[in-house]
Parts: sequence; structure tokens; C-alpha cells
Amino acid sequence: MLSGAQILVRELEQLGVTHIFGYPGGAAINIFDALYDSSIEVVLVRHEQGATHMADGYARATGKVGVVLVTSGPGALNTVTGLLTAKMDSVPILVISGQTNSTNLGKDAFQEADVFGATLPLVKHNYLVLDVDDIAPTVRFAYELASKGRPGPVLIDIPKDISGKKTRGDYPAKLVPKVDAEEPKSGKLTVEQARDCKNLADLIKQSKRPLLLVGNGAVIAGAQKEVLELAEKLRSPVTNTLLGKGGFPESHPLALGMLGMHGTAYANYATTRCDLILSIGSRFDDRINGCPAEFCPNAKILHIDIDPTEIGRSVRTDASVVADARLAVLEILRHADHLDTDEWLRELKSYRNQNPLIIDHGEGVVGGDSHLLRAAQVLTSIYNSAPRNAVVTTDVGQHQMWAAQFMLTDGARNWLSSGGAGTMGFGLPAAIGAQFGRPDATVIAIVGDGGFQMVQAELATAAIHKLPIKIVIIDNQCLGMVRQWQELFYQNRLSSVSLHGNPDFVKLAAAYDIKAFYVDSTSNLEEVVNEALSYQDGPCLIHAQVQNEDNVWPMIPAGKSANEMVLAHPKSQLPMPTGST
Amino acid sequence: MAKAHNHGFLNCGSERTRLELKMRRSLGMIARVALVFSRRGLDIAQFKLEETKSYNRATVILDFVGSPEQLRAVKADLTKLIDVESLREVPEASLNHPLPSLTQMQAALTC
Ligand SMILES: Cc1ncc(C[n+]2csc(CCOP(=O)(O)OP(=O)(O)O)c2C)c(N)n1
Repeated sequence: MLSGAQILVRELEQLGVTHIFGYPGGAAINIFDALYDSSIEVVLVRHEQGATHMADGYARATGKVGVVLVTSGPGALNTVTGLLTAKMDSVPILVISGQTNSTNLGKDAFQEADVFGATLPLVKHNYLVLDVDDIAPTVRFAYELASKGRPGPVLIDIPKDISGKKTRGDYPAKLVPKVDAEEPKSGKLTVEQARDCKNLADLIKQSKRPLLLVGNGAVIAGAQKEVLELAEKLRSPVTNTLLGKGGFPESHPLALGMLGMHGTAYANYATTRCDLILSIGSRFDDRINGCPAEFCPNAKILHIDIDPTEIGRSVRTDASVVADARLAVLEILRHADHLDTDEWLRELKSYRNQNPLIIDHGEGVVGGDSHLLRAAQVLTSIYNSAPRNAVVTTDVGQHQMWAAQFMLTDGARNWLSSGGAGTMGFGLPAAIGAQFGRPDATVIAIVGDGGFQMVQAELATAAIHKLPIKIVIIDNQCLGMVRQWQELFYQNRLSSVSLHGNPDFVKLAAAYDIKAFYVDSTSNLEEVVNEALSYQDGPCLIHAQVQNEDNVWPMIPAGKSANEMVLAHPKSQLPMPTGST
Repeated sequence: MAKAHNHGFLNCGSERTRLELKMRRSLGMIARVALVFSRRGLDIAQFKLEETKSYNRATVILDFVGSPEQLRAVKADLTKLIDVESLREVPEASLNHPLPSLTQMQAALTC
């Protein structure tokens, strides 16, 4: 007879799980014990939040479900930020948490927390297992649910007596009913879906100034080949969201790059001028659509999304299809014709030539010193030297936006960034997870000096496993993105944004036996970057000391439309934004 | 009725609505439904959980007041819950006991 924990591990093995990111404790000890005999590699992290971002990075980089195992109470609650991060960006992760004995539930037992209750709003679904015979079907079902339809995090809470209990008979004794409400990932479109696609195709035929908007849904669906074909057939310009990076090659002549708050001027301009926009798996969230009433004012808005609740949620929609992005684009392609977009492309090109991406030179900023190294220079140098299919992860802040702007992404699942939740501290653990999932890839974590320090303990995880990830700390000695807001909108009253007192990051790396480089000028930048990129004996770190007061441009103030995009440092104070962040 | 705050949502274009959900019985199903409302600052005015002939199915009937946009959003989120099998708006005409008037509900929610 097998114990609940052994059944759990056996199920995970059968589902093809090869790695679990975890941290043990009393309530999960049965499961860790069962893993002792398993082929699954357990990656011992340094903090449970790190485990969730590793599983998340693993999932984003591979498309497979990332698995986390933690103990009850504080262990489980340390996963909530990771759950939110995965939920917001539709990432399939499975978090398994140990729980106090079922007989103790509700007694404020040692390390008891209502993890089921606490995580309800942060997951696609969650379970509290109260019968050992439910373990096998629940795990199988939860695993499938995480990646099915619109992916998302699923949590299973297992009391210690249940994981320790022997099964009554052969498992699985019970079967959980199947979820059939969701779209299959592959397969065929229904007649209605095909009809809706034809409708979209008919509308596209009438367009003179089309714009394709590629979102995370296109990446998840693996639709990049089809999107490329559609763009080339229509000769339509393409923009992408932050998470849509890689859904269409950003170095393609039809690519306008990222749109939105810190998107390229030309992508945002295109939204104000297009007569039709086709979203392929973007949810039109407030990063790209600060002012719904003025979004794409001259355009028919068409929407492809696997999640029916996204249609019409943020913007008016003229036509839509609820389907897997790849299948929908394939179907539209069958009806699509070439469009005469010469004039439209010329217009965009000329606008682009006049409004290229700029590296802020700090003009107008007291104390700005243009001789210092700039973040964008570091990122450009890495982009130029790294292999085209390198995986780039980021934290959240200015460096994330510069990386999105200057490090073009050509392939799907090569850009891993916390979009919806904007979770600082995501970059390093996500890179660790990505490297476990794709051992042959060059994995580069671009992190801020703020975000890195939230999770720097995971340097140990990277070092112990000798993962050849490249960690690039863009050190501007401050919480740059917040500082930018305070400068622009709060009369430069810098409140709690200085990070003076940062540790010596090179020495910090040395403490973990991690190779590290320091760079603060362009003179040796290329040399350092090349050396770091070719270093394979484990992780290495570049501490890039950059200009402190650079700002990210362009910027659409929160709550404003693309018409009110600010292209470069304004001469006077900007009005307080109406949007929240 | 417990003391509730008037969040201001009752003022502009708010309507009372009754929803009927056919649900799969599972742990936390009521909490999941309730969270769809509380995360938006919406109160549920009435809530009823009914057994059905099938032991693992239940019907939830609830009334709430919200703008058409809030109604749309709430319905969308409810249909996404794994335990919700179907959802319908119950038209007022088909009710045995009519919904309380908007003024009555406003009074109930603010006193
Ligand atoms: C966990 C978390 N806390 C706070 C924030 C708010 N926030 C957004 S960007 C930012 C500054 C990030 O600073 P840093 O990591 O140094 O990156 P930089 O903006 O300087 O490139 C902060 C505090 C956040 N996104 N996540």
C-alpha cells in the first residue's frame, strides 16, 4: 500500500514532471520523504517566493507546467506573490502545499494558515484534499487545468495526515469530473468559430491602415509562424504588448515594437492612425489602453481571445472570435488577401524616422552627468553580442522598459517578464527556472538594484547548480521608475527612492563563489559583456553602474491616450496623472 | 442586514439583478462566488444556496445592485469559476417574490 505522498509523487512522475522547486517543513515532510526515492529533481530554493518565480520562469520558457512544493503556514503564504504573478500573466504553475493535520484544521494549530482561503482570489482554481483517495485524481486534474485553455496557477493544499495515510485500495479510487467548458488547445475550430474568423477576414479586407496587435495569447498558443504569415500576406504593420514580445519577430521590417505606456512612439502613433486593429491574444489592459474612450479612435477593433470574458472587457469591440490564437489566425489566413498598404507603411516609416527610440541624456535634470554609462547602452551591447535566441528575463522598473525597447525579441518564449503583476524580484529566479527548463539556452536576467535585492538569496540556488545564467544588475542607486514619477509628477520630491548604501555587488557575488564583473563606462563595456556571455562554468554577474537620473521615453502618463504621449523630457512639470500606476 | 457602506455605486445607472447559478458542489464554492463581488466593492443583498436532486450539484440564487458594467464584469468572472456550470439572469417577471425596489435595497445597504 502506498501513502498519499507516494501517490502524489508517482502521479507527478507520470505526468512528466522532472523538476520541483521547493522548500521543506513539517507539514510537507511526508512528500519530501517520498521524493527521496524519486527521479524528480528537487531544487532547494532559498525562499518560497523564489520557488514560485522559478516554476513560473520554467513554465514561460518551456510551455510546460512548473511545479512548486512548500510547507504549511508561512511557507505556503510566501507563494502568494508568485501565484498572483502567474495568474496575471496566464502562466501554468502547480503549487503543492503541506497543511496541518486535517483533524487540527481551524484550531490555529502550529503553522496552520487558511491557505485554501487565502489563495482563492489568486489562482485559477485550488483544492484542499481531505481524502487520500482524492490525491491522484486531484493532481492529474489540477495539472491539466493549469495549462488548459487560458493557463494559470493551481494550488493543492494537502494536510499531513492525508499525505501520510496509506490508500485503502488501488488508486485512483475516485475520479474528479472533467472540465469541458474550455477550448481545446489544439484541434479544430467549431463552425461558429470559423464563421467568426471569416467575419474578421472580411473586415480586414476593407482596411487601408491595418495594425496587428500581438499579445501573450499568441505566444502561449505558439502562433508565431501563423502571425508572421498573416502580417506578410496583408503587409500589415505589427505591434506587440510587453508580454507579446516574441509572438512576432521584433526585428522584422513590419514590426513597430512594443506599444503602450513606454512603447515606441511609432507603435503608439500607429494606434491613433490605424483604421483597423486586430488583437491576437492581447487583453487591451491599461498598460496599452490608459484611456479606453480614446483608444484607436479611428479603427474597427477586432479581438481574438481564448477567454470569452476578455471580449469587450476593456475596449469596445467591433468583431471577435473566441478561440485559440493559432487556430484563429490560420483560419483568417485562408480568407485573407494582400492589402495595398504602401502609403500606410510610408507614413509610419517617416514618423519613425522622426521619432526614434532615444536614450535619455538627462537634460533638464539637476546633477545629470551625460558622461556616465547609461542603462540602454548596457542593454544594447548585450543585445548585440548575445545569441538571437537568448532568453531574457527582467525585474520590474525602468530597466525592464529599456530592455523591452532595446533588446528586440524574435522568438516566442524568449522574453520572460512580469507584466500584469509587475513583480519586482521576478528576474533572477525566473532565469534560474528558465535555465533548468532550457539547459542549452543562453539565459540573461536583467534586474534592477532594487528588485535584485528582494531575491538575492537565490544566488545560492544558481551557484549550487552551476547554472550559467548571466545576471545583469542595472544599478542606478535608486528605485528608478518611482523616482521618474516623483521627478515628473511630484515636483522632484524624492521620497524613499534612494538606494544609497547598496552592497558591493561584486563582493556579494564572490561570497557565493560567483564570477562577477564591474562596469561603469563604455570603454570596457563590450569586453565585459563578451566575457560574461562566454562564461559557462556557472552563473556570472555584471554590476553595471549607470547614470542615476535617466528617464524612460516615450511615456504616456497613466490614464491618458496615445495622443498625449510625451516623447522626451518636458520643459515643465507634467500634470498629475489620472490613472493609478 | 449587517451595516454596509454605500460605496456610491448605487447612484449612477445602478440596477438590481437576480442571478441564478447552477454549480458543482465543492469546497469553497460560496467563497469563490462571494469574492467576485467583494473584490469590486459590491455587496450581495440576498444569497440562497439550494440543494438539487443531484447530491453533487447546487443552485445559488443571489441579488445584488450594480451598474450594467459591473453586472457584465461579475457575470464574466462567475462563468469563469470552475464550479459554475451555468449562469442566468432571472427576469423580474418570472419571480414569485418580486425583487425589493431599488430604494428598499439602497436603504438596506446603507442603514
Ligand atoms: C514587489 C514590488 N514592490 C514595489 C513595486 C513598485 N515599483 C515598481 S518599479 C519600482 C522601482 C524598481 O527599482 P529597481 O529594481 O532598482 O529598478 P529601476 O526602476 O531602477 O530600473 C518599484 C518600487 C513593485 N513593482 N513590486
